Amino acid sequence: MTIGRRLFVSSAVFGIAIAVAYWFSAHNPDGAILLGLMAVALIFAAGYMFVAERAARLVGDRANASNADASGERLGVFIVASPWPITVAFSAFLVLLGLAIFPVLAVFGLALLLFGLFRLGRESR
Amino acid sequence: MRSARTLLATSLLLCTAGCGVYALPAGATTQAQVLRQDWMVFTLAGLFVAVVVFGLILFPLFVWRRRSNDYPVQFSQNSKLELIYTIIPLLMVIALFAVTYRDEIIVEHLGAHPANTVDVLAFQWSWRFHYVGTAINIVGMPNAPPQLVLPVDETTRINLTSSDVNHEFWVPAFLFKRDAIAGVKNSFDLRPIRVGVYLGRCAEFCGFDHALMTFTVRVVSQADYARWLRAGGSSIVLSSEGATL
Amino acid sequence: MSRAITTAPSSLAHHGIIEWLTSTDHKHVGILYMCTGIFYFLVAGLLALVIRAQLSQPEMTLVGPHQYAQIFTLHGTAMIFLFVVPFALGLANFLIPLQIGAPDMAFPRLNAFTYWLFFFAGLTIFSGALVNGGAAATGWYAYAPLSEISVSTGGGQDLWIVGLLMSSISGILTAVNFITTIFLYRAPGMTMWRLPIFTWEMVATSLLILMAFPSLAAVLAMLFIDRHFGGKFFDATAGGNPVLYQHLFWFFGHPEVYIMILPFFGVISEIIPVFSRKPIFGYTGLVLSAFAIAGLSMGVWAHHMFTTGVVTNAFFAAVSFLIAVPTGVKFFNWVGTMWRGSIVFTTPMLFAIGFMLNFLIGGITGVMVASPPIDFQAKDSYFLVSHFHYVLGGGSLFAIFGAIYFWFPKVFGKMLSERLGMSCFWLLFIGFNTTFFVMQFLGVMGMPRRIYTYPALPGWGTLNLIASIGSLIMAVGVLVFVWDVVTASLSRKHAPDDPWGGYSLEWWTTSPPPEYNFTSLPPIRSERPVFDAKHPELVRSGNS
Ligand code: HEM
Ligand SMILES: [Cu+2]
Ligand SMILES: [Cu+2]
Repeated sequence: MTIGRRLFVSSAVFGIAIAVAYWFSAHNPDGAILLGLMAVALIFAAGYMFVAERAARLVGDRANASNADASGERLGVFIVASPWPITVAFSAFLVLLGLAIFPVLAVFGLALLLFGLFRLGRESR
Repeated sequence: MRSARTLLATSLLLCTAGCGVYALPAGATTQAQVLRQDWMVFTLAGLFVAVVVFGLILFPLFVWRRRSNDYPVQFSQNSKLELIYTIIPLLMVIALFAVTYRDEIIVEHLGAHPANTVDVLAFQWSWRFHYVGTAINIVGMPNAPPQLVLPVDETTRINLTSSDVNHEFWVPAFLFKRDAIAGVKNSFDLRPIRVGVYLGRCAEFCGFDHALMTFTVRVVSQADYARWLRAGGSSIVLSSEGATL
Repeated sequence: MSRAITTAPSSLAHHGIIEWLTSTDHKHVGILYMCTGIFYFLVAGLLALVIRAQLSQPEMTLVGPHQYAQIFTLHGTAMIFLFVVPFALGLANFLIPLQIGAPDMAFPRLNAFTYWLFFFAGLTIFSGALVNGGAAATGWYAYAPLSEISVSTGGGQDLWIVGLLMSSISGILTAVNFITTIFLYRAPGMTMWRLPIFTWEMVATSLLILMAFPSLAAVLAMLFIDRHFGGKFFDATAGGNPVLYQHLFWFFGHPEVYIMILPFFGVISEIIPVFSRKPIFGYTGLVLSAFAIAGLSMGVWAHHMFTTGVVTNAFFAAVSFLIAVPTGVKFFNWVGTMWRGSIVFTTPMLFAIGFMLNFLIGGITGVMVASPPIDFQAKDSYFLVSHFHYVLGGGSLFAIFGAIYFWFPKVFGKMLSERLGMSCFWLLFIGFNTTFFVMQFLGVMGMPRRIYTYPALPGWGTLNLIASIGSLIMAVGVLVFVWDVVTASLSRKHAPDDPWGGYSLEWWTTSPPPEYNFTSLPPIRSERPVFDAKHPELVRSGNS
């Protein structure tokens, strides 16, 4: 099992265990539900790890790998700058601020948010 | 070297000051005496750990300072030692838990037949004390703190709740506090052991006048208390024994 | 380096403010996080000085109850959400790709987005001071019903909620980014069991963020619904439950304190071995203890609710005590690292030692307040204020200073002054202990937290005055630090690539590192690849 799977599987098992322990020792539904939800989320994460890492044969996991082993491995596209993250953050800020004090801002923010997300998506394709 | 020595001196100072946790009030109820024991056990255990671990941290600073450019032996493991320093703290906390568990049960125990019952209502920003079974209602204001009168050597049941935000009933001399939460009725017993006047206050931040949400607890002799009850809660009848603590 | 990374050309200017606004380079993002964090530390520190001035004498009237409540709320909120956590995330942003030999984070745009979301979160929270009714004034955990619209009518509370909501979303996304990066982008040979301890601690921290922050987001959303959309979640008169707020908040709030300390356990575990000139002692135990702490800390939230009368105190006391065990393990690992070492007293090392001494007091008082019978007196008193400042101030803050002195040359290519650094350390160490040690006595004597004034009870004036003087000493220490940073930044002297004899990969590359971090990597055969490469004669045989 890769470390990622091991980490999330053991976390999920721990989540279930503590939820059960809590249920039987504390008889408090609020806390048991919280722990239960946490366990469910961890189970999802663990499941995802199984899917995501199925094909991964990472050069970083091979104890004797040398730098030459990594040549040609494609790590992905890296960029150094993009105007869209700050745009999306700013528009999310406007949406929430609008909800809190001034609804018109939220409408404006939402429009900007959609535009920013669209451009962000196009850029990262 | 100078750094290490100053560090040592400061740490010693801290340990001595640690003993001062005994600035803790003497404990004016039977429950508080149990609570005080708990403080003692934990403070002593804490001081012990502090001395040992401070020692372990400071010792290498004196003994193994860099003296040459050579690297020391590059060891990084000792399974037996690692097992030991996991197990010893584990045993310590198990012992501490036993003490905690025992004391908490005593303190939170609700007697079957309390001699008196007082319903305490917390509100922004004062208290109402209602003596159950009587018409006595003592209501305070932020600048006119109310007084809770309790008989000495008798158990009084307090039923605590709030009519608005969260508050917290705290009498430092009783070493005890409990939350007042709307929709929750919290009950606990107090059995004062010394006549006197004690300061009490709200401990949970509850808005702007939280700092002024105080009250006093006046512990009186049982005879005085009976007289006080008969007089409908008028404090004129109380002989003024005991100092403010 | 031999791995193929495709870089997309960018049309944006490569200098000036535009670069900082649009950069997705993890190093820039990290620097932004850390500098913003330090900025809020200075702001919140000023607020703390106002608090200490107001409390220096009984019956002071420097600020009134309205301002005082806003001040301690902003102080606490800023220190936690805008300083310690963002600093940790920023440091991790800077270091993780370097320590694992990667060119950047897995999701660089997402990374920049999380920073800017946090940036606007800070503005939102502090903008409360400008609106009618002032900033939020309900403390850093804003208990309902006090924070409900019926009591806290001002917009400041809404801005606080929205700000924290933004910062919690930002935190969750950052954690996803960290975990993905660490799992998938390690350089050849950098197996998980060779990760530097700091990176390991960030795996545990990220896991904790993923488990805890959703609860914060949920409770904030519920509170917002209560306030504006007719919700009754926490309204006891309408069938709601104020205790539920506490459950949800502390389900986040306790893990949060470990989110604020695990990264700094990592920092300390990086600094001590380098200046003891030995490998870290008990690597595996150190890693496992991080996960033990993370796991256990999910099961202790109601130790903040011992006095509510509605939770099973014994369960929470027991689990809270258990956390002391893995925490103790870490201490013994650090001691074991120094044992028979060759200890060099540099500023980062001094801060690391100061961290251990202070955090030990925080840990011991922590075990004390984890015992309900003691908490019945200590809760909401200055004993508690002392306890958590020993953890956050004496712990996290000292580790942050240690980290700054350790990595400043790497981050900016300039050396900070050792002389000023030592003065800064001693001023902070002495000032800190003067301020916060006496608070233990105030607490047991009965002084509650969050009061803007107090009567002249025996001893209270003196002890408070001592605490206030201590805070001034700390302030001088911080000024020395600021002076140090300013002069170092202006100086022309360049820091060497590896000024300390470091172990992990960030010391292999230049100071500051180039775009995409590395032009070459040493072979990675242990958790100290740089040390191994520079001292082949000392390589331990048979290490895995
Ligand atoms: C730099 C020196 C500092 C001083 C002099 C200081 C002083 C204080 C004082 C006196 C209080 C209690 C206010 C009251 O209850 O009325 C307080 C509260 C608090 N402090 Fe600090 N503090 C400092 C640094 C820090 C740091 C570094 C952190 C966290 C990283 C921090 C986090 C908090 C928190 C969370 C609260 C609770 C706020 C609340 O009650 O909602 N403080 N501080
Ligand atoms: Cu109050
Ligand atoms: Cu906690």
